[in-house]
Amino acid sequence: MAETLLDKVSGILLKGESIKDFDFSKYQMKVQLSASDCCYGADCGDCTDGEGYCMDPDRYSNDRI
Amino acid sequence: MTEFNTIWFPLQYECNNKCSWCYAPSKITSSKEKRFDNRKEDEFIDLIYELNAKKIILIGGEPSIYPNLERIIKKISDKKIRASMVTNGRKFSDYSFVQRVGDSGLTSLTISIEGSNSQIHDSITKVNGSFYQTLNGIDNSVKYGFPTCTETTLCKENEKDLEKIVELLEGKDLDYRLFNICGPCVSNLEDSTYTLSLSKGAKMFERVYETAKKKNVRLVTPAPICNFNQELYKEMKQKKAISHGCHILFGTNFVLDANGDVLPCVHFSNYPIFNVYENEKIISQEKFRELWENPEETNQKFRKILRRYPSQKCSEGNCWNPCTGGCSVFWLKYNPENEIKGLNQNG
Repeated sequence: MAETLLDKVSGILLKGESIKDFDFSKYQMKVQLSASDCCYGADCGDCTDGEGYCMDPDRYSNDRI
Repeated sequence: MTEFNTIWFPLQYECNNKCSWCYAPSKITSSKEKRFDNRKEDEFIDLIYELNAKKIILIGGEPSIYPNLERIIKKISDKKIRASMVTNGRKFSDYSFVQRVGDSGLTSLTISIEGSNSQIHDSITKVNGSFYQTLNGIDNSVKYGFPTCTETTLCKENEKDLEKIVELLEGKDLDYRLFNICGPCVSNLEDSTYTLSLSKGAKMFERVYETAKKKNVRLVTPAPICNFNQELYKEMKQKKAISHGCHILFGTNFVLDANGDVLPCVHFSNYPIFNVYENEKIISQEKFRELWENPEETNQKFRKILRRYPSQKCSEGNCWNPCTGGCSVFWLKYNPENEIKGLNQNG
């Protein structure tokens, strides 16, 4: 059976013994509180390849064109 | 319910450059089904429209040599979705081409430049003459009025050339000079000798930043905060020169591959979350959302696995916010225990 995404990603982060979960909802809340600083790679072109966050609120847009 | 932002369309894996570190290795590029066609264009854009995503980024391979490029840009634009492109820029050296894609509705461009001269750039792309075509492409993009970024992959071949790349681009009306760290590709781990560690890439970017503070440079690959000099990090953060997390933790963006595979990012080719085709028919947006949101399905399980400290040192002190431990894909190859110092050790 072919290796799946979950097989592969488990190999990314579960190989260290000391790894543990973090409180993502808490982190997400912090990010959302500063949402004007971040468009999750959405619109502005500042992180056009989407691998990082935009942090330019002046160019943030929630809308399509 | 997830609000989708950016969707990437790898239109095809064929490329007119041959960069050794490309995330589209030959075993992917050789697959004939990994190319869009008229039917897929229509079905995929309709699905993305119904999912209410805001932006589609055309990537590849090389998207500018896709045969139906103007058609697909117009289709995206007609749906009031922003259409952007990441390209090597060579086709944009022809200004009539720039005008055609601009008139079709393309809204912005990111053009890859890998060296400050033809010797270095062309040795990375393995195509003689590609440097000057790319430079002309950048100039034509700015001339047309596209919001234009450049992007440079930090790699061993251009390690000593980075400051010169910034100097070369000085004076050009660019939104940003983006840099990313050459990382592993999930489907090509056995041939990943070309990659750099996040800590090495972070140090390379510090050099770029110090020589180009006022030139809108930005590192887009998320790297652990503790990889940076802390005084410099504070300044880089303030000047928006650095990213602080990856969208794959949130699941607001995805790649829709030509065979219908839904990927977390381009580095996961051949390892889909799911496929949008069932019995050769594309699934509805309701079905898509069910697969996306259901905690028992792959997507939510995948996000849950990612939302972990890569190292115990991340949970010590107060360095988690806004750091997310860097790009998770790198931990396929590098040991986070060696890479992550923790802020206590770094000062």
